[in-house]
Amino acid sequence: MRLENAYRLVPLMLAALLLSAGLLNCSSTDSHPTPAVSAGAAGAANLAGSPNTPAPGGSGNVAGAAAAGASASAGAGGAPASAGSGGAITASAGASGAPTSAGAGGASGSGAGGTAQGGAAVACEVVNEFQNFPAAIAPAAIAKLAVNNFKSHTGRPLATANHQR
Amino acid sequence: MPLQITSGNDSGMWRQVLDLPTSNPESSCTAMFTFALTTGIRYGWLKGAKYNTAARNGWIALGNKTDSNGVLTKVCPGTGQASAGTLASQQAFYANIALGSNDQHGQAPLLWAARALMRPDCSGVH
Repeated sequence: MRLENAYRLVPLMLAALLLSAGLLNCSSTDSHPTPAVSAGAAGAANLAGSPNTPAPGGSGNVAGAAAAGASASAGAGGAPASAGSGGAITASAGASGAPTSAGAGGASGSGAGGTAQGGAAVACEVVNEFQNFPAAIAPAAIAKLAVNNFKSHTGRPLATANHQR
Repeated sequence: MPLQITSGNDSGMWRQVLDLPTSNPESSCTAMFTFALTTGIRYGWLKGAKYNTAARNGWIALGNKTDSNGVLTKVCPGTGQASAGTLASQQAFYANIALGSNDQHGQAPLLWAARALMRPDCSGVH
């Protein structure tokens, strides 16, 4: 190629460079949606965790919500902890097997109540006849004395405990 | 409540031989009945003033039979088995067993009854 012909190619080369730069910009712009998609996915995970906050309200769906919260808590942090306590509350309220699994979900928060009651129904009747005992024979007073006394029995062999066979 | 003593110093207790009016009031069976009644009442299985009153009187009787060292008195030790004979002779066998104190037959049910009354797993007054 002769030199003058080479000079003629300069504008073409410049144009090619500009075009390629433009294409690069376009491809660079096209590359943004990819991280945007993953950011959206992360947002969805957070939404999965946030419904757990109402879990302390203790509806019938708490079991599922608490379980979702437990998995979401891996990324979310503090918020799912309240979902965990929600599971515990439901377990102590105690319906049946499903709230027990809600309690297990709550274990990621605190979880103690979930395993303590095991989902069993617990009634706590307040009885007037049990409210006012004379102080000296109140259940707590007698129990304290009896517990202290019972310590002396724990090491006794059976033969000295007045058992007859 | 059937067969519970309702008057005198032993009011609230049940007897060594439940339906033998001449047998001694006995603390361990009183503690067991009080425990059972109280548990049923507080869980809502037993409803009615007669149960509440019987359980209360049972506990008061136990409190009055417990000394300052936490020792429950008037407790029947293990009885063994009465030999064959008449109903009267078998009743007499059990009724004549001397009662003692500080026996685990009574100490443990005393704790059961106290725990059932207190129900530390419930909120409110214990």
